[in-house]
Amino acid sequence: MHRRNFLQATSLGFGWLGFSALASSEAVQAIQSNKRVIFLCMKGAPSHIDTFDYKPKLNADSGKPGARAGSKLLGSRWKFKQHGESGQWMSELFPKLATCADDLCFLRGMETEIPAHPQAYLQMHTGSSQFVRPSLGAWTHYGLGSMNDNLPGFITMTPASGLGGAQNYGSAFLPAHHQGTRLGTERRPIAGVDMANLAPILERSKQRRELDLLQEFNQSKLTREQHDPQVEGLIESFELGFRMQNEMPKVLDLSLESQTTRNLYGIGDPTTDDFGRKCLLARRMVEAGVRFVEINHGDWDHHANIGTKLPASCASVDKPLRGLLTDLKAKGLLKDTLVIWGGEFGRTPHAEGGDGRDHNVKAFTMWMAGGGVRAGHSHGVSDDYGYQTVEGKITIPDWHATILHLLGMDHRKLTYQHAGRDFRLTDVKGRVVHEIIA
Amino acid sequence: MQSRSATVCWRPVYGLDSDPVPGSMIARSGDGPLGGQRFQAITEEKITAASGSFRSLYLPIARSVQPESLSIFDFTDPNIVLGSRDTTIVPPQALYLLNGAFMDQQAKAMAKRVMSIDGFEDRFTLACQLAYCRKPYADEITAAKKLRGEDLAAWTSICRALLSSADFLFIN
Repeated sequence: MHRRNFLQATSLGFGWLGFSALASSEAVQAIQSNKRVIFLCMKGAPSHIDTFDYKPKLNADSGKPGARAGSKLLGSRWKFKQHGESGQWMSELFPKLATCADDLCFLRGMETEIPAHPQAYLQMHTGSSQFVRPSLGAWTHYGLGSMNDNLPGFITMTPASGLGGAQNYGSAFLPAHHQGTRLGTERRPIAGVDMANLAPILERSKQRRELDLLQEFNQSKLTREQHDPQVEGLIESFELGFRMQNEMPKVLDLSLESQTTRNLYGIGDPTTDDFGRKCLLARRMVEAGVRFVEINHGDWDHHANIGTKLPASCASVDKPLRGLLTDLKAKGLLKDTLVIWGGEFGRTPHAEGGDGRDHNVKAFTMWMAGGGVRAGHSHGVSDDYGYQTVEGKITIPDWHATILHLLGMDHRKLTYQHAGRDFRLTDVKGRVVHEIIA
Repeated sequence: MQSRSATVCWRPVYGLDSDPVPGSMIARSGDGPLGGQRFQAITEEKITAASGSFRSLYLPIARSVQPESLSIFDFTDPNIVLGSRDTTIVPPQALYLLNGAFMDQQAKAMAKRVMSIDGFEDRFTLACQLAYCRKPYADEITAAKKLRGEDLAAWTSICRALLSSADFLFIN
């Protein structure tokens, strides 16, 4: 029996269909803008004050008392300049990314609720720090479906193992096949990492017969016990695993890229090799049809020794970021790919200890690039010290609503019924930030 | 969109995680003792490849590296304290079960055990008893018969299918 017919003919076909395939999907608009997402998650929270939010008054007032009792303001020791025709302010820590200034849209009024990593990280990824909810990637996959049935629709590279772990790429109550597939382990290099067991141990038709038998056992269970989304997820993951055997190894094989391309991403240079590989893999994945790719990178949690640690973190990503944007453009992909960069919050203008910054939730900076995003633009302003947003505030629900909008979806209408009511990524909140839409 | 999760079960089925899965397989296949000597491993490759015939309790855990048979089934990060483990259902797990060397070994061992008696139906009944702790249903017997062949390769496939199926991986 053909596997698609098998899945569609049975009761579990409901879970298999993407939301967009359902007749009454008003949430997906007629014209889709972006088709894919690359989310570059800088875990630990990069300092916005030293990278993308220029605060000359903070430098002038360095040493004066800060917002927290007993603290002192710490100016940024890195020079800021305007870049590109759009005149974007960026610090000297991102010299290569600065050449792409005209492609970037800075969101300088970002705001989140809880200044602790696990909660903020979870909220950024799922919309909630208190309840188990589907991740941004899962909602995206639920809304738009897969572009390539032979690959996972949502892949996450070196995801955080703490801070909520798999919940950050999980599907919660959505059908199980919307969850992210993990590649690599946090804090370990991605080089040499493969999705294991892609090589079939049986000849294809023999393996197919064995898999058919396995699926009949599963279907038998499902028929006896009626609906169970976990068993449906298992069935679908085996079918996808079977299809991936052919296509996934090619996607992961960076030797298929030219030396020029690998140099563009900084692969081969110890400083940029790891993030460079992840970025190139991301480009290959989205090019092959993966809908949502997340890269979790770094530890940007610079409570101490920011003078040495922040430049090192920036150096590890600067060249690969330029490489990724340049390459996506060259391949004609940037116009319908949404690229997002940022961490779970920012860092304080006042010092922590001698040479560090603490967590800052009332103002921080992220940037976006790609289809539908106002390039060479900046939205949101923080106060003179970069502590609190004074204009153009974007909360996490606003950020989620805007991302879904850029993917052609209405965040209020992308819903799923569970436990008797409709749920959505933005819960009861969220405003699309039209000011950053081109 | 009707909610179909509101059915009349008092507790949903839940998946086995990384400890019981390999251990149960070894118990079913009879491939070696469940316990053994302390495992000596000094390289990352040795740790990742470790499984042997040991229960996961005896496998080596380094701070940032675990044996594949554990990490693929959501073994927790040894660096942190975790209240409850993640449960994921993803293609890499399916690939591990379909193509993994450990699975192949267990399925072969279980097939040999099952082939020690005669008759297709008797063999399949024993296989089900081992995997599911119950007798097979009629439709399962019919499905298994479709896999042509009575040799070790065929029975390895049948046993691997049983050990990869929902009834083995999920607890009711």
